[in-house]
Amino acid sequence: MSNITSLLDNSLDAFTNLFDVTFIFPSQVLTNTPELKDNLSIRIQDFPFPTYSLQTYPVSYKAVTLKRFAPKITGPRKLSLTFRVDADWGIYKKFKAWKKHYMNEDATTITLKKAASLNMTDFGQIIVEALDSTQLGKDSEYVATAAKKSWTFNDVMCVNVQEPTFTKDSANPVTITVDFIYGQYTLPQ
Amino acid sequence: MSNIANLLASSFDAFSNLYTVTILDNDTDRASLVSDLRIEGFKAPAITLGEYDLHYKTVNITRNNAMFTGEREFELKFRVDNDYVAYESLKTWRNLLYNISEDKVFLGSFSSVARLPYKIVRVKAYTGTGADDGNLVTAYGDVVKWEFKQVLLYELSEPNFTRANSEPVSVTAKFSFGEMITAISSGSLTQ
Repeated sequence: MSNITSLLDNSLDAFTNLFDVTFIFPSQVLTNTPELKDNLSIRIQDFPFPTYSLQTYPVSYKAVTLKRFAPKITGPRKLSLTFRVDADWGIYKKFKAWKKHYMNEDATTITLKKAASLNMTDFGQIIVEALDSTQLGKDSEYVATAAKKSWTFNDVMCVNVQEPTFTKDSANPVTITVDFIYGQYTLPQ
Repeated sequence: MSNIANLLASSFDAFSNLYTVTILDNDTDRASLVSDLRIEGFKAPAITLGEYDLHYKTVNITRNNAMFTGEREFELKFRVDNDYVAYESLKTWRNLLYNISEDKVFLGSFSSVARLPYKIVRVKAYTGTGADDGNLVTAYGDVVKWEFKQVLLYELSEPNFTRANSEPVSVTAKFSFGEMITAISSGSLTQ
């Protein structure tokens, strides 16, 4: 088989722009609606996944040194996601409400017991789905219902909402960065 | 001989695109874990001897000591297919060492070099003297080969999603290895 044929015959690629992100807010913060889900998925800029690895330590013997692995999975259980803010500032207000569930910087109150509880209504969830490149319809409207792969972050807390930056120099959409911490992280099965 | 003639008569060059990378279970295996078509680029690690300085009066020289230095690891970048088969194959390999979803580490699985998580990574560079586009087996004689044994996949990045553009998804895997064999051999390029 020639190189051209090999390339043409190679299966279709996955693409970086074909993804959806679903934010499920803690039920004690607000009611999740399909409109909120779509709005956040449209307004999120990208999704940088955390990278995990194994802790290592060097082992030397005479002239050689090898890296060995220790029984500890390293990597931050944190996410920093950037959103384009809507004109009503709805996204900003909703994430601030989520953050306020654990801490209120205005009133300088802290409700850490909600972070330490096992009550799932105090935590949110983030689901990232990779979509099927072969199922694009008219105007690239996605027609298939099943995602190709799905990553799930459970026990999610919103811990910081970066305040917006205003300037007289340009007219750009306002973007905010929201920080989350999470517990269990499930990769695609 | 003029400079022009010297240049024209100088030997053919090696090219950075004439290479293959295969990930094999063992020496006799022929099917790569991920198709070579989806592996983008390779940079061999540099292993050398450590150095120390010697001083005497007004001069100093550098000498080599008796310890090999250089990380016994390398990275490979993979372009992911629509069905995420390449990603799943790499993730399954990494899961033999540790599983993030289940928060488990399986150090016992590689207590012996003959155990399951180890693979062989073989990189071949074609000498480029054949008349074909790099695919005809008999057109190439000598081959420069790097072979890494006792290879473990210890880190795998997740896909890089963004709304800003439409690029093929790629993931980067980091590997550690034991033995590295660099050889120049002749023969057919069947694997």
